[in-house]
Amino acid sequence: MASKSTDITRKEQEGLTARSSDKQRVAPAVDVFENRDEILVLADLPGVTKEHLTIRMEDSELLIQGTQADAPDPSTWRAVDFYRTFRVPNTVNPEKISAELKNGVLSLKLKKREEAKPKQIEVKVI
Amino acid sequence: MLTRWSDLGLGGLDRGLSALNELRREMDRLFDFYDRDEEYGEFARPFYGRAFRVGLNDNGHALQLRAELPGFSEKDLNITIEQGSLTIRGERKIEVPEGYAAHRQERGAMQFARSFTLPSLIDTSKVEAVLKNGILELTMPKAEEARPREIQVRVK
Repeated sequence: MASKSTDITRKEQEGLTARSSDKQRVAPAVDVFENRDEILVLADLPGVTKEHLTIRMEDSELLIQGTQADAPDPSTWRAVDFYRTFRVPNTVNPEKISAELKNGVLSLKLKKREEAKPKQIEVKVI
Repeated sequence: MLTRWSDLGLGGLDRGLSALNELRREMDRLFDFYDRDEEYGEFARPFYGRAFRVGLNDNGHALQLRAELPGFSEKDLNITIEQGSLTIRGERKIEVPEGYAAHRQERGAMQFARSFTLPSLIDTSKVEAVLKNGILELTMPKAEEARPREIQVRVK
């Protein structure tokens, strides 16, 4: 349902949480899509490898944190720390989240709970 | 932009510096950094999106270009060097996946094509472009005559 869109909102965390590194923290750009079965989150994370990516779901808060690999020429390229949190609706089953990383883009699929999916109501003609 | 490269001029690199800086400024314009989020008010996009960073380095032997291009595959990019001019073309399409409703779209589609004058002669046969994890690394070795040379001082 379209009304669910407001449930995923960005929670400002900058300045509240301790930095995990001395790298500059930036919020990655994301797309959020939804269909009846799942919520799909795409995030631009250039230069982040699987080993340096953390995805955590805690108290219906989804965290995406990825650290860019250092460049061989750090004087002209400063690696950054991607960081963003989302409030996830409780229609999402936290046990069923899958993540894929391709060409520097993270693709997260958050499956909805069975009971949260829209149901077709049969209308009986009497 | 969000992160600035250290000024190349401070590093004491004196080879083709003004040209290199010019190239960098061109790149900054090309990739449309936005450091003016406050202008957009409530609908600001204080995100990293579209602000693909570009870094340029001159290590004496080669010019190294590094660009963030997430979501681009090698077939979305076209890089040519001709007559001391570098051209990078690229296109990334962003579409709402079939059957989904879009709630938030910050990742922009982008298309660009632009040419730049390189500050040094390049050995075009040895140029290497690697695209990995959404980062393009372009290594352009300088032509033999453009490399730094150590001059032996003879004592008479």
